Amino acid sequence: MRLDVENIVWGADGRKILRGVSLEVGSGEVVGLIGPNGSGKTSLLRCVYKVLEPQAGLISLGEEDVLRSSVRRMARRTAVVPQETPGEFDFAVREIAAMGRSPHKGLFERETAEDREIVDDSLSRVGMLPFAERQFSTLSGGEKQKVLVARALAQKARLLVLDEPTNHLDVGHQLEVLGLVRGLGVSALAALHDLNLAALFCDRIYVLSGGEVFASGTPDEVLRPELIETVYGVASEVRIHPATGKPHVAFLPESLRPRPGPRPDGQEGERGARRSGGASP
Amino acid sequence: MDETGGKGEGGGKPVASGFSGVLLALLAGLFASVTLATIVGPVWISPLTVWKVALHEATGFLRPDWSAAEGQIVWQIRFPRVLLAAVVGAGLSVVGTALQAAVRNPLADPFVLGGSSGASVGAVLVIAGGVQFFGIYSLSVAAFVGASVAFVLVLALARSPGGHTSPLRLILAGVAASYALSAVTSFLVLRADDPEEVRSVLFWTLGSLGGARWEYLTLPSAALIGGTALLLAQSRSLNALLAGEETAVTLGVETDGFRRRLLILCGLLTGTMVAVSGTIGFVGLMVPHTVRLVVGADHRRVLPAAALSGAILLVWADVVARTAISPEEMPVGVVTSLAGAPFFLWLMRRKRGAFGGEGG
Repeated sequence: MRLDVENIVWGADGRKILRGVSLEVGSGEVVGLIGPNGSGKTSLLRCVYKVLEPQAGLISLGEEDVLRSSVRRMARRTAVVPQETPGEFDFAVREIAAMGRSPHKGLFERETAEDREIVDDSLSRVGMLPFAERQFSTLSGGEKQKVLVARALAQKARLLVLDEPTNHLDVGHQLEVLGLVRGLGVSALAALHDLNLAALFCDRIYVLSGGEVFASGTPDEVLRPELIETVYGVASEVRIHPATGKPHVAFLPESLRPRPGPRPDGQEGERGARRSGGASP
Repeated sequence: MDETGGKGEGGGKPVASGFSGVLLALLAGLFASVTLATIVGPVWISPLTVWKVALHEATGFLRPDWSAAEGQIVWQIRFPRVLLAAVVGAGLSVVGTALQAAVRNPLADPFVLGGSSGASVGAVLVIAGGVQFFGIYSLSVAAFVGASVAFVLVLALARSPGGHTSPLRLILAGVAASYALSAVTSFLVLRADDPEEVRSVLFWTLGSLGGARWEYLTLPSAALIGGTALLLAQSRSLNALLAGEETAVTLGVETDGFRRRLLILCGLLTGTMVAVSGTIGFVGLMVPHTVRLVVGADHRRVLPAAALSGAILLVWADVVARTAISPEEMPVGVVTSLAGAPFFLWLMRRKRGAFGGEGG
C-alpha cells in the first residue's frame, strides 16, 4: 500500500526535529531512511505509526488520512518492528507473535483457529516456529528481532515500518532479517544505520539531515562520497560491487584521507563550514 | 509447565489444556480452603456441617441436625469472614496484576499510587479524630474516600503539561503522595491521647478481616466480579501495554486513555477492598508475579489464576491471623508479609531466568 508523507513538521520543547519532511513509499517498495544520529529518522517513523503527532503536514496510507484515523484502525494497516523490546515481564514467543492479532480482535472475541494459523505461519516464515513455547527473554538478539518481525507479519498489515531492525545483530542475522522484509512483498519503510545494508535491500533511499530530506533516489544515485562527506562528515570511497551490483561504501578514517593538496581551497573551506554547521542542530 | 508444553506441535493447545488444569486445581483448592477455614476455630465444626448449614441458609433446604450455636458460628461469624478474605485476596491480586501492566513496573502493587496512605488518613480521622458521618460504616466510607482522593491526586499530579501520563511519573507521584499522606497519618496518631486508639490505627493499617459481616461482602464482591470481567475483556490491551509503550500504540491501543481508564478502575477496586479490610500488604504484589511464573504473562490466564490464588492465599493468611496467638488476633497483613516474603524470594531464586536473571 502506498504511503505519502507531506511536509511533516514536528518538534518538542521548542526544538524543531522535523522541518517539513516529504517522502513516499510506493506499493511493494522497500524504502530506506538514512542519516546521522539526531537527523529525525526515528521521529519521522513515530509520526507515521502515530506515537507522535506532527504539528503540521499530511500522512496518507492508500486513501486513508493517517493523522485523523484512530490508533486501532491504523494498527490494522501498519505494522511496526520497533527498537524497544518487552522488558521485565516475560512472554512466550507465541504470545508475542499472537499480539499481532490484537488490533483485529474485539473485546471478548476469542482466538480463532484462523488466528492460530496466522501466528504459526508468521513464526514459521521467520523460522521461529520451533521456538514458539520458549520464553522471549531467553532468545538471542537476532532471534528476538525475528519474533518481532513475525508479530508484524501476524498483524497482516499493508505497510511495514522498521526502526533500526538490524541494531545489535550479527552479520548473518542482519542479512536474514532484511532479506525477510525484502521477500514479503509489502511496502516497507526502514530506518537504517548501515549504508551498505541500505544499498543492498532498498529500492530507494531518503537521506535525512537536520530534520530535512537532504537527498533521495536509488542507492547508486544517493550513495556518493560527496553526499556522505556532507551529511556524515566522513570521507569514503564508493564502488559498484561486482558481486552484488549495488554500491558499496568503504569509509576512510582520518589517517587514510586522500588528497590533502590537490583539492581546490574553496571546497576544503566549505567542507569545514558544513561540518561545524551540522554539529549544532 | 512451560517445558512440557513446549513439546507439543499442535498450535497453542498444550499450553491451553495445561491451563484449564491449573484453573480446575485452583478452583478445587479454593473450595477446600473455604471449607477448611470455616472448620478451624475455637470450636471445630465438621466439614459436612459447614456445607449443610450453608445450603440450608442459602436455599432453605435441609432440616437442621446441628446445634443453633454451630449454625450461628458457621453462618454469622466464620463464613462471612472467610468469604471476605477470599474476595479481598482476589481483588487485591487482580488489581496488582492490572497495575503492574498499567505502570509497566514489577514493583507496582495496589498501593503504589497512594491508595493505602490515603485510606489510612481517612481511617485515622475516624478512629482517632472522632469523625463520624455514617455510623458503623464511617471507617469504611472514610477509607474509601481517602483512597480515592489520593488516587485522583496522584493521577492529576502525574500528568505532564502535554497531557501525557507516563508510568514513571505515575510511580514518582504515587511515592511522593504516599510519603506526604503517611506523614499526616503519623501526625494524627501522635496527637491521639488514647493508647487504645493508637493500637486500633496500627491494627487497621496492617489489615484485618475481623469486622466481617455479610453486609460487607456485597459491594466488594460486585466490584471484584465486575472489575475482573472488565479487565479480562481488555487483556489483549494489557498484554500489549506490558510489551512496551510504543508497541502498544502500534498494536492499536490508545495508551493514554486506556491507562487512565485502567487506573480509575484499579483505584475504585482498591478503595472498595481497603474499605472492608484495611491495607493488607504484599498480596497484590506477590500473587501476580507468582502466577506469572506458572502460567506465563498473558493476562487472559494471569487474571483468573491470580484472582483464585489471591483468594486462597488470604483465606489461609486469615486463618493463621485468628488462630496463631488465639484468643488474641494478629493483623492479617503481618501474616501475608511474614510468610509471603520468604516464599517469594525462594521462588525468585529458584526460577533463575525470571526477573531479568538471564539473557536480557
